[in-house]
Amino acid sequence: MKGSNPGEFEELILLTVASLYDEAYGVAIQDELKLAGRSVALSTIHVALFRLERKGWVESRFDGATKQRGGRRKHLYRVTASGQRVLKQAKKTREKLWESIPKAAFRFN
Amino acid sequence: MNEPNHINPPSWIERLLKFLLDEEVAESVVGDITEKFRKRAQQGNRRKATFLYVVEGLGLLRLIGQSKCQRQTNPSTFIGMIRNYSIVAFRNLKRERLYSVMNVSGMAIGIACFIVICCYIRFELSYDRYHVSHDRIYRIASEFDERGERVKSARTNPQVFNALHEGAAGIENVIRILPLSGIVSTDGVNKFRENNFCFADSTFFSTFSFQLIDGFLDHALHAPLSVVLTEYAARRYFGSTDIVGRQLTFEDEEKSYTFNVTGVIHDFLRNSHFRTEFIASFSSLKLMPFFKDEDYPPLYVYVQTNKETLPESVSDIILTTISKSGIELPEFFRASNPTYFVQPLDDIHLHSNLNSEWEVNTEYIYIQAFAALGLFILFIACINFINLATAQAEKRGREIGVRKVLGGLKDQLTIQFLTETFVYVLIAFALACGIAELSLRFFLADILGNELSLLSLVNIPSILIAIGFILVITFLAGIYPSLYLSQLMPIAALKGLPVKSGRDYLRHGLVSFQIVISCMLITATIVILKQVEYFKTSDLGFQKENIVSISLSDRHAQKNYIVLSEKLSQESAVISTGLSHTLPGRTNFYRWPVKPKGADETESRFIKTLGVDEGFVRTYNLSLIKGRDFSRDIPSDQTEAFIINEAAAEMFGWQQAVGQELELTVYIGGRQVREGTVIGLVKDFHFESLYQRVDPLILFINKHPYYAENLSVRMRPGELSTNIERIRAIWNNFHPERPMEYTFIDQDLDRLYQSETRLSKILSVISIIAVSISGLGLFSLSSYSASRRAREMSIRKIFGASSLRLLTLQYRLYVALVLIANAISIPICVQGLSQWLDSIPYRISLDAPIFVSTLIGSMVVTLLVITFHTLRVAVANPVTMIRNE
Repeated sequence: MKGSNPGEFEELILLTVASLYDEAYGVAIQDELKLAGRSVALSTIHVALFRLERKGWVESRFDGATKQRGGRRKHLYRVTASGQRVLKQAKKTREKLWESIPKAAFRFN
Repeated sequence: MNEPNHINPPSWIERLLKFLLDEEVAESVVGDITEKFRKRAQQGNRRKATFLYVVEGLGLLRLIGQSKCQRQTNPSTFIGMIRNYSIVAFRNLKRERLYSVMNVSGMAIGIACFIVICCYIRFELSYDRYHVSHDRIYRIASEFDERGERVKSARTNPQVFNALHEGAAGIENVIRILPLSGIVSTDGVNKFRENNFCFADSTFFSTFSFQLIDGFLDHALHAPLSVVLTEYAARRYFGSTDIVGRQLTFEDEEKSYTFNVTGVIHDFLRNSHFRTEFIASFSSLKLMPFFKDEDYPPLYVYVQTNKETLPESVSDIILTTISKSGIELPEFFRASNPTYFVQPLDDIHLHSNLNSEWEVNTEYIYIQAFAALGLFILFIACINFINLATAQAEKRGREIGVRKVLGGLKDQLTIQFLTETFVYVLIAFALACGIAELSLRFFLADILGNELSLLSLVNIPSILIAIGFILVITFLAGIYPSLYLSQLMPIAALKGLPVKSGRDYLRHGLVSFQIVISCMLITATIVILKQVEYFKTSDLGFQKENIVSISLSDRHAQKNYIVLSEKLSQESAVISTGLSHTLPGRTNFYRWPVKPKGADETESRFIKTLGVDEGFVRTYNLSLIKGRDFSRDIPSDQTEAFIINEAAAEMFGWQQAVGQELELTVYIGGRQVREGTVIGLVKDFHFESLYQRVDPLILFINKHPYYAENLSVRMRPGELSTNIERIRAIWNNFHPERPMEYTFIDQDLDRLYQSETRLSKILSVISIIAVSISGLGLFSLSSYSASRRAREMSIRKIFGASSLRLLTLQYRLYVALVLIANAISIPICVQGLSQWLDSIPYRISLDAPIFVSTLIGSMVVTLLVITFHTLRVAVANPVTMIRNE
């Protein structure tokens, strides 16, 4: 069924949320992705997070206000069990495919 | 972390997001961007941080409709809805091609017309606003008795300057500007007459804002004999703008003066109430013997006030300063009871129509009239849209029904149709901009008298205005159809049942309204065209064709005019020549006191006079009713003979004018009283424009050089240019140093009616546009009603009605509409146009043929336009129509 596998960008976001654990919110995710070499607009991240949440792969809460944010709470995300499952599934699929690549395929000269 | 509290992002973003987004989501995303903003701001660049904050904030509007609790439901978001509506709108646009093309083009033409008018009005309103301190500049104008009348003049006597210059609180600068006419040359060989060689005080450039190309404006007008040129003049005389320090000569009637060029400025903008190419230092005038005692003629005086001076008090300050200063006016001027008044610079172009203005200003009423016309056209276009859109109801019925059955709400449908309207208006607006730009560039430049472009309007405020305009039009044109369509009963709409017919009243009313406006415009155009034609062709009492008038521009020519006149008379192309002080169509006829001989001083009246020589009456072909023309052979004619016109005879109450004796007081190099006899009576001739009744006029012989200004030459009909060349050859022989300056009398006279001619041209264009837009409206209305009545017509046909009968049956409605529209428009036209015509003494009558032709014209156009569809239904095979059901 369409939607049961994450898209490339969705996967990225999921991974970032997982790696940030409990500190995953808009700006943090954006910064993390930037470190990983990908700049993304804030709104894009939020839209993706909403979608992930609708699919049930992440869950969210509002918490963690700081002075820097003018006392506003963060929208914090955490990966759910089913999120973990799809991530693992995706990883496995990829690894399998990597393994099945013959060495000759990447020999360019 | 020390938080710099004073750095805060713009708060409207937060308000916007909070308004549009889910509450908690809004809080968190605003928190996000605030966090980023603070971080960036601390790194240094606050501007950039603010900018990025706004950009990101606006980007977050993508989240409209997303909320945490909504995650379970299917997201039928607002954005998605609008997107769907737009898609449906475009599909409709493509499917109903004819309908769309007509709808969009009608709207586009209407909007284009409106844009053009707006551009024109904006241009007219922009006069003189480019001066940095335009709101602090005022002109002092005067009012005084002249030639027996009280006149208002844009010029003021120079003593006013002295009064203000000595200092008044609140005044920063006072400037005199005196335009003179003279011969300008750079090399002494190529000489040109410049009529607007201005002398201005040294603060000219600190009051008015001009862009400098070369030189120092601060000192440019300090030294005597310095002059600043515009770029155009610099190129014309020197071929370059790099001319500071070079010299040019200005030659008046007596002497020649050498001026140093001290600066070059950009040309005066078209929207300046005065324009010149030369500005020389006022101090130069002291070197001219003519003005040696600072005895300047009336000139223009401008005042620049301090920033602190309140606009309301300017007039008081200036007027009290003048009255307190106790300036000494020359005797003759004090006798004319001068008073002064103050005009803000901003008002001069549209609200001032005085004597001796720099150039003819625009009447404010024209601006209002144009604004009204623009709105009319826009209304017609909106009406068109309403008609076309509601006529579509039937075709859209199914879609509406389905949407409603599936749970579409009325409001949603309303928004859908408004979105559709928006799409149409958007396309129309884009087209309109193109049409407007093209027409401004290529067609309207000569009608409007100047070149405008939309490109100068590409800036943020006007784009915002444009967006607002599009929304307003969308609302005006779309609100009724969308309410109407969204109201349809789903069952009836699904079945394709005819919509209630009561609605047609509105549609018919709107179409009638379009026809009313079109008829009014057509009638007004016809009347103005006829009146202009009447002005130009009516019998003026003299022959204006084939007369060229040579202006005797200096003393040499004036003193020796008789030599020129005799030489010209020998030329075969010339019939006769006549000298006169002024010319028909001009306004400077002297009014001098006249009374019957021996009558009491109290009976003397000021009457317009014209000094002529013996050839004048012959040259202009004035028709003598009684008596004789002036004659060279009768010496007493030189001082003791008058020819008067009928109006003068009537004023004196003379049945038998010839032989009566008059006393005329003239001021020809001093006061003289001429006693003499009336030797001839001429038929009234229009020596002024047809806006004025023929005034009493006395012709007398006056060859004094000061008054010998114009030599009119009647030529034989034939090749005009060769005739002129022959005359020019004679002139060059007579006075080689001066170029021949001449005008054609008939062209001069036509120019009196220039603004009416322009108005008639503009009105013609606008009425053509109105008619074509209304035509589109009628076309679509007829298509709609023809398809609605198709079944009825088929049944009638089956029962034996002929095609012709069916056609007339359908025509009946439109004939009624046109008749009603005319019945409404005629009284309005009569009212408005007769008001205009009544102000003109020599006018066409507002008679039936004008209205009948409008009626017939509108009827013919209407029937032609609707015939396409009605005929289709009338001749169709009834079977195909009924089978369609």
